[in-house]
Amino acid sequence: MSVSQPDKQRRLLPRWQPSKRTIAAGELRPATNSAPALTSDDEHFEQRKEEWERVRSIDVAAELVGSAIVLGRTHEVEAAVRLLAEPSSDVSATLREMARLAVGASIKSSPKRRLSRPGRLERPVLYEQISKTRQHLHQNPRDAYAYIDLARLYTILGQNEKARHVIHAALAIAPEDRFVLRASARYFVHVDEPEAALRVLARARATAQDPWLMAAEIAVSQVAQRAPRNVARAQRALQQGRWAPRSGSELAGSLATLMLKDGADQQARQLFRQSLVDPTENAVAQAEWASAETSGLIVPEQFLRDPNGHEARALHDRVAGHWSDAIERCWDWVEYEPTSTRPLLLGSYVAAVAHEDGNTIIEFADRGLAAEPNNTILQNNKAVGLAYLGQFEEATALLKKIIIERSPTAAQPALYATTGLLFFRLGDLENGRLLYEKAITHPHSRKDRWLQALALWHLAIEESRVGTPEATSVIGRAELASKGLKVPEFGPLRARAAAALKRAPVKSAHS
Amino acid sequence: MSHINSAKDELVGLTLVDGWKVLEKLPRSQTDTGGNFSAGYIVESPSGAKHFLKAIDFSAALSSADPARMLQVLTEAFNLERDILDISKRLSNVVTVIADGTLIVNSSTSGPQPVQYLILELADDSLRRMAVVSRRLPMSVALKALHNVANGLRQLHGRQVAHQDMKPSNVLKFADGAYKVCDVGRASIKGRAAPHDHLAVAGDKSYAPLELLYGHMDPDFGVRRWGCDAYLLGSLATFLICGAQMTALVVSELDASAQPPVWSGAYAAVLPQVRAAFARALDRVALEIPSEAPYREELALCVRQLCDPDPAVRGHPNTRAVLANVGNVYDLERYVSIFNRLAMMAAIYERQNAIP
Repeated sequence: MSVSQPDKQRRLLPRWQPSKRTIAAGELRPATNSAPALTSDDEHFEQRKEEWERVRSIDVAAELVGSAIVLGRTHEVEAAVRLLAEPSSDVSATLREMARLAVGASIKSSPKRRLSRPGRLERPVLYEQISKTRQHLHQNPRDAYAYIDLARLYTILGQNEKARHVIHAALAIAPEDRFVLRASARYFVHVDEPEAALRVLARARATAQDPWLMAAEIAVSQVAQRAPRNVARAQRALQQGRWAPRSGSELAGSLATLMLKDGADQQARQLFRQSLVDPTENAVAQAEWASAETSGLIVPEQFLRDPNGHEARALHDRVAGHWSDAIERCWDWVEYEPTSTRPLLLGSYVAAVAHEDGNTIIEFADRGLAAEPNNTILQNNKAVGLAYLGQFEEATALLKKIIIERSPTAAQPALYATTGLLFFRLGDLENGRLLYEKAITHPHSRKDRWLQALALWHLAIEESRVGTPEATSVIGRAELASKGLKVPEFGPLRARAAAALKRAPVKSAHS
Repeated sequence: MSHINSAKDELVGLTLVDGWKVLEKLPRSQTDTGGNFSAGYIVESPSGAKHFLKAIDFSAALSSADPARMLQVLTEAFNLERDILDISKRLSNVVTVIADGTLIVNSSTSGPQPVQYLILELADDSLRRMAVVSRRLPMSVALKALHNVANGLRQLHGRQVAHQDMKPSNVLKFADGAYKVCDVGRASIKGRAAPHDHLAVAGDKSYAPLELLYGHMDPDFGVRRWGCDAYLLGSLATFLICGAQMTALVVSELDASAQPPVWSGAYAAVLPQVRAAFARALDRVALEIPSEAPYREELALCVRQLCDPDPAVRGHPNTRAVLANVGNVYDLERYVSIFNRLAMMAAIYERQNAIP
């Protein structure tokens, strides 16, 4: 083994998207379907329409279009809208833009710079966005969403403490707002403070009522290894169909994940199906992940076509063994969710196990290290990429910075295995073997057959490359460890071991 | 509802009890208050001065779906308007009522019918028709109008009245160059019930403050009604800057799912979205003020404070700080003097730069 394995446990944590994208995705709509306070009938509007029929002037048009926008009746005043929206019309740019927006033109924004490579961290672009948002906040200090957007930009750059300050500012302004709460919870999970995320959610009265916040509370509780508070209430409300399917989508997915972990597969499948009635792309990704964990759950193809469904498609391509596609989807996912290391871990994992592609592994790792230079897992992955490329000095220098025993327990097997890989590639088979065995027998690996099998397959490949007499027996051990496990990567790993064995000269066990 | 022709439409040529002559009927767009039950005329006093007459025909209510209810609504509304005009007499920036009374009109369609009327000062023009949209109104004039309107609203507030329907057509220009607030048909007096009290939006929805469009009705008279006037003053300033209503500008910046005709949740839940849209709208409005104009920043700040989508922070922060818990936190006195000062700055700026 080398690169760390991707999510064994996926939790349906809120995505942290810019406020505009979150709004456009419908995540901030009221949870229930009830009548709006404003009715669109209006005597003044009718009078203005009559007047417009008599007097086709821009003064009359301006007031009529304004009324139509407020009342949601712009389709009735298209001629007046056209008069104002014409580039030659003698009106202010603001009025012309308002008319343009009224007929559904997209909100004018500065043209998006094309990134040289999807997912690449473009620091100048981010600094420019930060500067603009700060200026905006200087003028509009009560815009809570702008604070959250600023915190997101800081987080992408790894400036987590700056982000923390702005998160607190947003929470002070809008302590009950769904977007602010979900983004704040996501931030605290990102900085490994799930307890703080839970506190933020628990403080808000809205959490006990709002399905989106309940979903976040359940997912964050799983990360914090705490019992979620809202399970019974959420189950009852979902059974009663209290919310619109879209609003309950992530809550159903969160509950389903909880059930799945507790072994209640049947209930989990039922809830996953409920989450897919009108799902968010996040709920689709959760169901796609779960479909590999339980039988009888199929995510309908149409949901995988969501333009933002990069993660779901990456997971789908991985299960289908479409490795190159999975890597490309991971890059799209990095660009879509740049605050997350998960697409980087999955992308580098696929690049390692399926292709032994050192360059791609390094590219993914460097993208993450740019924001989190001390992330042990990303450093480990980069070392693997370097070892695959034969850049042993750089790989050694990188690994020397890490004290494995002081690293997070979950990362230790990968670190032992990567050090073993380096020894193998440097020709020190004995130490290489020793370190791989340390990875395989590590207490964390003992609890996880997938991890153990993965480490064994990587050891098998290294033994096969050199052509040691142990190669065949290690392959046998790997096969045994893989028995009954549905892990799509075992296929290419098996093939790589077999190909290496075919190519390699037979050597003595202690050479 | 289509326009109902009745006795109120047949006044031309008649002479009222005090010798007033009814000269000419005005088109509906110029007198669009009172709905289908009122009509506007130009009348001449015995001394030859021309004035505006607003005629209301209560009998037209009999042809409505619920005549008893409609009659009650019209009577209450008329009495309230007359009382407000009465207590607003001698306010320099509020249109003054000259006379009121009842006239029996022998209608060609319904026979003799009583028509109630109010005679008011006749203006030269209204802001609505002063080429604001095509940006031909100099900013010094616009700011003078704002100064007068702010003063008119402040005067009404001083009499415990909230106007609630301040829009360009309700700002009249008089021969001496003064601007006055008119049409108190949708106003409320603190401590007295009004027939439109049950409505979220008492005035014109197209200009209404955002919180009212979303159904947020604060039980406090000041927050709900004087706060509404403060917003409408800011919206009028927006109109004078760029020819658009602030409400429409903000709504056009909102995602369709969050717009008032669609949103079914609480105002507090949509407020952050509204605030973000308001910030974008405000950025656009600020760009319409010439960058080198000396009044630019202060004028934009006034709009920002007056139109704040949260009524709890709307208005001048110093006024709020001083009058919190002791008076009207939406008191417009500071804006009266600010707009006066800005109008003078604008006049000097226009003279120096030879702006016609």
